[in-house]
Amino acid sequence: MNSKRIRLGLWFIQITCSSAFRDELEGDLFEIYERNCSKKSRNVGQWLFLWNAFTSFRFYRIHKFKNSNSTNMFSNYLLVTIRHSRRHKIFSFVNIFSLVIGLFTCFCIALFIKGEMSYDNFHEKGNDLYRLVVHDEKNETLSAKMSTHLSKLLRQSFPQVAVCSFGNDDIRIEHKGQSIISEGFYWTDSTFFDVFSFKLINGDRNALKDKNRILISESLSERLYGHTNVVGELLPLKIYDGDITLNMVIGGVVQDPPSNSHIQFEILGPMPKAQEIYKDLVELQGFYWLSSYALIHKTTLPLIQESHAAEFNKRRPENSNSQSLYFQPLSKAYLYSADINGWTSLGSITNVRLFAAIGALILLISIFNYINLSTTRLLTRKKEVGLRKSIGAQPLSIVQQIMTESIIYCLLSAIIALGLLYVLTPQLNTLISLNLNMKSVGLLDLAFVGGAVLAIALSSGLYPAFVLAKTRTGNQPDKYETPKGSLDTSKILLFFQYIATILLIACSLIVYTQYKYMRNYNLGVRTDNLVNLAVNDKAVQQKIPALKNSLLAIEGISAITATGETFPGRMQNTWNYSWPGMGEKGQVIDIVGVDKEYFDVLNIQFVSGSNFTREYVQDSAKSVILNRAAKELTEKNDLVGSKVTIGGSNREVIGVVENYHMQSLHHQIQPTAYFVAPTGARISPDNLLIRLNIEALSKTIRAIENTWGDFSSEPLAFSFVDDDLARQYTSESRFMYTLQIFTGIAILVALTGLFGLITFQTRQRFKEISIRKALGAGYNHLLLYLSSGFLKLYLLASLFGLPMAFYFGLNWLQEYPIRISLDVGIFIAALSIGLIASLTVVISQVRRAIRINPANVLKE
Amino acid sequence: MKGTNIGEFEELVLLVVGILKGKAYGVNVMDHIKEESNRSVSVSTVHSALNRLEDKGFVESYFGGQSELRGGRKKRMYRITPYGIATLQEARLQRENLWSQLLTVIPE
Repeated sequence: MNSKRIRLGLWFIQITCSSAFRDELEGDLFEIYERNCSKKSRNVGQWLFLWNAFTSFRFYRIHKFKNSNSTNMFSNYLLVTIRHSRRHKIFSFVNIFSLVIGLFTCFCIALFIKGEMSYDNFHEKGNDLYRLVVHDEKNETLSAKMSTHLSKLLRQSFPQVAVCSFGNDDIRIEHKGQSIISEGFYWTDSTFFDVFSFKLINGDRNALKDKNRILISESLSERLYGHTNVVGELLPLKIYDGDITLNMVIGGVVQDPPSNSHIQFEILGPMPKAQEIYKDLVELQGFYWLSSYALIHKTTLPLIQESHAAEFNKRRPENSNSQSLYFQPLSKAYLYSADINGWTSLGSITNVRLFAAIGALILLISIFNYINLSTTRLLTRKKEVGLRKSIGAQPLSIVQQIMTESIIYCLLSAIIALGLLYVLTPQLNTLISLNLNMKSVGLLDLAFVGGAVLAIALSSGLYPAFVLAKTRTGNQPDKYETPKGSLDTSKILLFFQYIATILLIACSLIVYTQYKYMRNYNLGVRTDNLVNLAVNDKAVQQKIPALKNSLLAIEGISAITATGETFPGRMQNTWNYSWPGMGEKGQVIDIVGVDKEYFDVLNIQFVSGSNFTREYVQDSAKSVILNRAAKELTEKNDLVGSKVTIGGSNREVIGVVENYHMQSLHHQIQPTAYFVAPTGARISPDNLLIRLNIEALSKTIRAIENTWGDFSSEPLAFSFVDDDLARQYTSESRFMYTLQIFTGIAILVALTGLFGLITFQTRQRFKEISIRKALGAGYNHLLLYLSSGFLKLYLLASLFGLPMAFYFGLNWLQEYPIRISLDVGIFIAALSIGLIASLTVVISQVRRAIRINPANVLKE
Repeated sequence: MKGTNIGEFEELVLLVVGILKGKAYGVNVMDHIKEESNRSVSVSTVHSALNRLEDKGFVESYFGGQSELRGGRKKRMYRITPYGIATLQEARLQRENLWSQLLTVIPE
């Protein structure tokens, strides 16, 4: 009798309506159906039945969960968890707090590592991209830069490989009467878009094939014109080293390189133009200026490495036969280039590993905290567990209960930690400049975090769960009896926490001491109130003597010297160096052009001999001043008066100066030769070092600007030497601050754990303490008695932690030529910081326990 | 126990259940409401009202006999409880009290 419509209606009722209401509903619907059938028609009745069935849906009639045992028990676990966390507010707080901090730190570090690992991963052909690194087998050095000669040879030897080279140059943009200095100018090849996946916003992909067209970045275009619709605009560029102004046409606008690209640029110019401008320079085989990248298919790489490398070796010039090519995968260019010269902005895989280790350490400390606290706390719940067992709970269900609790705590902490991370990312970025980016977090990461948190929850709940499940509670369910072995476990965990904390404290102390040592180190020169003024314009460089005289007339300037290198700065020019009676081995020496005032202005001491004099200036091609390192190379007692050969010409040594540092202490002092060079020579001065009087500083600087304006139309580019020197330690200070913050967090977490543990243990021992007091134990005696256990553990842990710190510290210090010696003082300091912190916690809690009135406790 | 307040539709249903003298069930309550107040309500609306009234303790239900007319399904019958009657009376008293006050204000 039932048609399809009726059956559909009944089926809907069956799935949406609980059996308690089904008969009533179905019966009433059938009654209405029969009535409709007799009044109207069977067909209409059936349709109305279906309609009524669907509209009969009510929430109160939905199937209720079958009240099975497991769901009932689960809701009971939930309830008990909430009640317990309310009753023991301190412990719940300590538990969640330390987990939140640990997870938060871990998430931070994971985010940082994710950012570092994501470098250069946006290129579509990323797996086939390589950076070309020149390996010099004789000097055992790797260099990311190569000469034009080498790069040409490469293209000839590997015809089927797309190569793209970048050559940095100093330029100034002349735009609407403004002068803008751009640091991101590169000469590059027209293969740019074939090799890389940078996006062209508008313009011509092949613009760089034309000698007069350039590509500019989106942000530069916005800055200059306010929009990106600039193809065809004329942009005059002043090329400093070529001493030429070019009227270039904008051929295209490129999207800004993503921040996780190690190649960053603002303007790209055509390589053929560079070869035209620097005709002589690019022919020099020793002029290393190009960073080259190649697109090589995976399958052809071995072939290229073998056969074409042989071809390359055959063709390469005689004097470079110790050089070979090394193909570095682009994905490794950012993190794995610490040993490659000629690349400045680089991440370091050491830092990534270090942070990963610190993150793991802090997470471990907070997990141990959790295990310790929940185990000890759960021991007070033996009554509950005993009751559960006596009414039939199996050990498994006890494990389930405790696991449920653990998961609830961990998930809650993870959610709080993620929320904190989300809110605090901007502050964190300014505080420790880790460049965290929450936007890069995807669903996959969240799923991973969820899985990890679950794993933490299970692993940290496992131990307390099994301790309780195995405890026999049968006879005396209300007695707080420590199960055998559990206190030992909590002691072992505390021990590891101590080791980790001491290790971190000692390490950050070592880093701090080294940093302070470097910053306060005597460089051998006076750098106070010293200003470095760069003269980039070749035309102005010719007029340096006149400029010097005009500047000296300014009241606030006490001394000026012209030099060929910036201060602080790297020596850029080297020559061959030989002396009578030297061995076979060739030596090189840094050369720098100076003037007579140089050593006086910088307050550099003479070891022997004397400064250039006026007569020597006349005869500048014949004389040279060396530094102590250059003298020591010759292993002679005194060089003054003897001849040395530098760059093929004989010169008389007129003086030897004390070693001094031209740049940060990461670099060793190199043998250096000082010349007086005529203007226009390779090493002629292009820099002024000016010592100012500290009074009326702003007035002096205004006067300098005025004088500068008489000589040059360039903007004045000057900086204080002290500031620049400090900037060279940025990576150290960043590392130091980050390490200090993490150490602080680790101490905080460990102390919270200690606090929880000691509060709990002394509370359990109230009765014992009361009896001891009643029997006449003194305050000091009790204090020592109660805290000695923790003290012993701490000292034992330091026996492990401090040697580890010594080992790591020694390794880290290897990087620095100027370094502290690891003396006992640092370790004693580390030991006492940890000791004072943990003693404060222990004693404050123990004192509270001792102060209790025995009568109140013993009455119970 | 849920609140003891009673809504307008609930009051209507409760009255009808009382009138039907223990013979009330979904369909005839629906029919009666239609006759008396000319309101067209679905049987499920009546069901949920009855369900709420039962939760509040104003009516009680029991199963009546099966019948072929109902596809073999049992009938759930409702009857009013003494508490339900008391609540109705209280509601009526309240109304009358308010009415008498209103009559002194508006001229007849």
